[in-house]
Amino acid sequence: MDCLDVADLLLSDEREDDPLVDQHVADCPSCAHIAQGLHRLDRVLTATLLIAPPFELQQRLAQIALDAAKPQTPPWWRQLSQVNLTQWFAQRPQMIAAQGLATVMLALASWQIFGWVSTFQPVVGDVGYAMELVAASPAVAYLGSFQIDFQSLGIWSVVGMIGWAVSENGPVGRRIAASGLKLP
Amino acid sequence: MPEPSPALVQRAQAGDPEALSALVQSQQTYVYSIAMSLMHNPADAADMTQEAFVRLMRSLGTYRAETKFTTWLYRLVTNICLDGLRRRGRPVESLDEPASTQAGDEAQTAGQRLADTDRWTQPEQEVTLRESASEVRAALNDLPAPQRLALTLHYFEDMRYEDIAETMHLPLNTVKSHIRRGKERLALALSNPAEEESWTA
Repeated sequence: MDCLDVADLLLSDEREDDPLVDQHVADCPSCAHIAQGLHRLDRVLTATLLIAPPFELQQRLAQIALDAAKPQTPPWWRQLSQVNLTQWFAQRPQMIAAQGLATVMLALASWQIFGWVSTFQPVVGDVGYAMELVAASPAVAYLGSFQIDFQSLGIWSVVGMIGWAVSENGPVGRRIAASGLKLP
Repeated sequence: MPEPSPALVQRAQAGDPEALSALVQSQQTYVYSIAMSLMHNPADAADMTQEAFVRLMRSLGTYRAETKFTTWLYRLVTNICLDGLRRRGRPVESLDEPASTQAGDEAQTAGQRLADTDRWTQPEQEVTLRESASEVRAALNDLPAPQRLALTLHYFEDMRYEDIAETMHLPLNTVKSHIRRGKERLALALSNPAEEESWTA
């Protein structure tokens, strides 16, 4: 290994595990000098290339970080422990009454549905009996009594569309407005 | 340590103000240094640094830890600076230009060029690196952009050649070559005034 090879390796920064280079540098004053110079260059460059931003910029960057921060919401179980339930209920009597009523209605509805369901005894494999059960069910009775007057529905739909067309957003209404025609 | 911990990055992604501040504080010097190495101008570098952190805050949620956080951030800064140079109508040196075309004489190895310089090879003569910041910066400014950026990243703590290559989108050997050529040119320019004059000319 000659001095040129060593100078090459010293520049490459990949000589740390090479005892031959270290030995050569220790024995050769010229290469030791180059190594020392490069070491000083490293120090100079480390100090020069790493540049701290000016103070004003640091302040602006800190503000950017603050602006980007979102308000921290604690998890729901931690929020629950912070709630004073007695005070919370005392401040909302209407809500408690409404929720109590809703609970009672839900219980009654469940009871009713449970009664309907338990009326029927399912028979596996008997399709005819199953169809009879479906026909006798309250749902079918309700649907059967639900009449839709398609004729009235159609007429009122046409009336609605005509109304929209002559309104200020409809195609006819927009033309009337654009023509400057004033209604009496 | 420039590389922030994964826990800090996750807290910052969740919007924790302390984590965001810590992240900005730990990275601002490195980001500004990259911007300075590409923009050459403190005002432009400050603008680019600010833009980089604004974009970082916007896109922090998209970081998926597939690469190192610093590699991801430094690549973002590099791209912003290159865009900034284009927007300002300033010449943009391609980062993937091979080092050999920028360093001149290919017949000599780096070691030969370095060893040929009298000041380095004569131990009795004191090596006087001109260490004033302005002279070093002037010598750095004379380097081609890829060498300057590669050197800047190289002197960041813990920045490996592989990370530099990923940041610059360059092959590993090209990055090694840029760093080597950059150091060699700086060593020559800073150790020998006549040599530096020839570089700056």
